[in-house]
Amino acid sequence: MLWLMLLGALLPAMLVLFVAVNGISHDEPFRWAYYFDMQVQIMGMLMCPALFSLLIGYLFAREFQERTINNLLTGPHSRLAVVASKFIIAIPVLLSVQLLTFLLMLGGGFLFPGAVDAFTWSMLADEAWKFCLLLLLQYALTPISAAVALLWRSYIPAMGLGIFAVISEMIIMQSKYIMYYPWSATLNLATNMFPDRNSASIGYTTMAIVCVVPLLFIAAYFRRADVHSG
Amino acid sequence: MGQAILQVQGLCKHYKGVKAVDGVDMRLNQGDIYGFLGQNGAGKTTTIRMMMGLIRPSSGSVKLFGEEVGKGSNAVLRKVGSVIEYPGFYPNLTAIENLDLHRRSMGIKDKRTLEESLHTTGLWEARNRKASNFSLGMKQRLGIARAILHGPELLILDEPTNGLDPMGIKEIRLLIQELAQKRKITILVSSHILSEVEQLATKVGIIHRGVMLEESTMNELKHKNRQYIGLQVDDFAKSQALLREELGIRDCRMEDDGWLRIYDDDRQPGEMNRLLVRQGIEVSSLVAMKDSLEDYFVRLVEGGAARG
Repeated sequence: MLWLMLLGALLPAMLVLFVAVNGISHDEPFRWAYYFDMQVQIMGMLMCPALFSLLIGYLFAREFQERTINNLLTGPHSRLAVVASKFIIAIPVLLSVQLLTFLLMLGGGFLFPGAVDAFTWSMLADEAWKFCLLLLLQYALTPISAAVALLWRSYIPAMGLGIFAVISEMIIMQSKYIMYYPWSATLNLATNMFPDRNSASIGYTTMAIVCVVPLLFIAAYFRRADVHSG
Repeated sequence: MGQAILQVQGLCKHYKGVKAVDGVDMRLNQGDIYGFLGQNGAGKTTTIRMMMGLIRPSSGSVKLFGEEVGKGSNAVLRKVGSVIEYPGFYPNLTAIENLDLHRRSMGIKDKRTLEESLHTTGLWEARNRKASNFSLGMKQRLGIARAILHGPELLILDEPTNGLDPMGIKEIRLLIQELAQKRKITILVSSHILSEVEQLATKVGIIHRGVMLEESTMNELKHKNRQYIGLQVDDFAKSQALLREELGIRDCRMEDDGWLRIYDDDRQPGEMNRLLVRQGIEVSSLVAMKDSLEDYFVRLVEGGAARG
């Protein structure tokens, strides 16, 4: 899990770094504003959907794979409490990844001296806010991954969902339905990439539905499901 | 009869028309070591999972300490420790870390329980080894350590000797006996290894194809087990024929263990011996014996299969 988190944080930081290096090699000057935008876009478009889905799937399905689920569910706790604890523990896990990525990316920016624009604290605060918003919105999508992992009792389908989310999101981003699709809505809400199609009310409604429906499904399914693993 | 710790009534579990468990009744009294016997796939684990609320019965009820298992039965599970099928642990954590996680989840403040459990199960020396490096026998003991950590009144062990070598089996047996005697824990242990249960249990339940064929105390079972005369001879077919023809013995059968068994209380061993020797048959052994639990189990299961 720790390695997954480290790798998950390192990968987007490296990707952003390579994009910046590539730009400089093509005589494009380094700009902090562009560098920050790129960070949020890469995180929102590529890394968060795939990585968070994998991490959440792993958090939930691992109990079945290690057969520790029997012990968890035969304790004096309700099944809902067990599920809720998983969602709670997901917060520091996802927060750590996001924070580490942010710091690595930020540090990476200082490797490029002679930026055209000046690095300002307000720029940093704006960037940090976008990362927080992205984390919050991506966290709202975790119940789908959790539901998939619980249904198949494996993190592989959750990982598949993450990859599907990345690909489908890129396709939907080209259309006018950005705010109706949870992963593209997340990205547009956090980055405002397409301001003309950025309807916050539609976006947040989409997010709320996508968050609540899987949660209700998990609550109903997991409470009733027979647990055979182990 | 002691206080009922566990009562199972008419417990059924059906999967798409297949009856995995069919109308099982059980009763565990305080202080019992209950041997839950059955072949692989007989329905032992399914029954235990229903007892622990892991799967829902199709019908019937399970009462733990007088309280029905189901919604809101979480508090009563505090009095129960269990190891179901295979004890799962977080492989990257050490033995003591795994136990500590359980301690905290059970809301136990006293850290000395960790030490006590590890000492009882003989794992204190291995406490700082990762669970992934444990042998199956050690994992079984660690599972028991975790199950007894919170001081349960009832311990449910599902096939705790599965996959263990003879030494491992003996260690687990001694551990179970110690827990019952010293900690006064009521224990339910499921197994398909009959000889183990025979040495351990005070009460036995025999399940076959989801149906509870018999539930009785070990003493009752011993009385039920028939006596027989066991013969080892150089010509089994001829001996069998002679005993039938000359002495009119009807219940005489050749067993896989190489013994000719005569279930006829009236016959004297000397009479048989004389007859066989007179006919030129060499009798190498002649002993009065009693059916083991295994014999009884086989008879019961064959009877159950014939009925089914």
